[in-house]
Amino acid sequence: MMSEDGWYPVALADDIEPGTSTGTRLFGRELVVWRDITGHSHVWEDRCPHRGMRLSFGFVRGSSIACLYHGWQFDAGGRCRYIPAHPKLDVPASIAVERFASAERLGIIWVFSGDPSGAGTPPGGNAETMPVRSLSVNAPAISTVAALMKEASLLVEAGASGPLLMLQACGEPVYIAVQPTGAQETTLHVVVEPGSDRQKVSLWAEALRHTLEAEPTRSGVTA
Amino acid sequence: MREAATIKFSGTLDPARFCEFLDHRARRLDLDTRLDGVGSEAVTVTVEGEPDLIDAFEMACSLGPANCLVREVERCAPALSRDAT
Repeated sequence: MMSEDGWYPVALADDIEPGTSTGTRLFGRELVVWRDITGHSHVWEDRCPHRGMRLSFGFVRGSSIACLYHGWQFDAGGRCRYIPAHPKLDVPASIAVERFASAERLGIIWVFSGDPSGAGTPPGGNAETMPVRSLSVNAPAISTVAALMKEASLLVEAGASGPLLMLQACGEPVYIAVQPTGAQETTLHVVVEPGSDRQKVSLWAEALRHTLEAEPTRSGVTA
Repeated sequence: MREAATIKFSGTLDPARFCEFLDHRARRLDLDTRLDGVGSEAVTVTVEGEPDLIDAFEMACSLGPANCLVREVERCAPALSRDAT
């Protein structure tokens, strides 16, 4: 789907409650992240196959998501099951939304970019975490990660399996999952271990964003 | 319930691009198609499938790809297949 194979974060799991959806981007591609009423999360192309409306603007109905525009309903398998204008129509399987392999780990929803048969599992093990916040940064992912590693001492780098950093920041171990939103935009998903001071880490993360956006490598142009 | 219809799209068409467009929409709507005539002024196609989806196909193709302008859509009875008696 995107430029480099691997697992990428797209949302904090707690931010997507059952029955809700949100839109995001990965390498510029628009995705809908939604959670059905049974608690399962899904990451799909954010585009209704009918008229191209963003599905993230739609409504979750049980285990389906319905497009805001004409109400086409798609089941958890991505297949259109109901078209309100043609209620008796047996909708063919060819009317479907592109889905991507996704999973939840460390309190983060991850999507796999590439051939899903080689997806494995997202990085980070099974540690219990608590969400802090997601932050958008106006800087490319590469320079954001480089600057992050200057700002805080690196404890663990997940390596090739995904953009996950574990840092020691303001006296707390902090996990930061890096989402390459677009060419010049990055989203950081911050989680901490239970018992950590989330407010302190949140303020640290906000200050970090100011630092990252002030980096001279932003947009490849020296400020 | 499957039905068949023959639809003639007339206008200013890029035949290759328009046929590619038809084929894509037909596959999306799970319709079988047979091209009966292809030209820069008209393309005639016989489609078979769910009636509602044939209507959707007609509507979608009346918009056409960016470099084609459909001025008229005419629906006629499907042509008899070769082995029909």
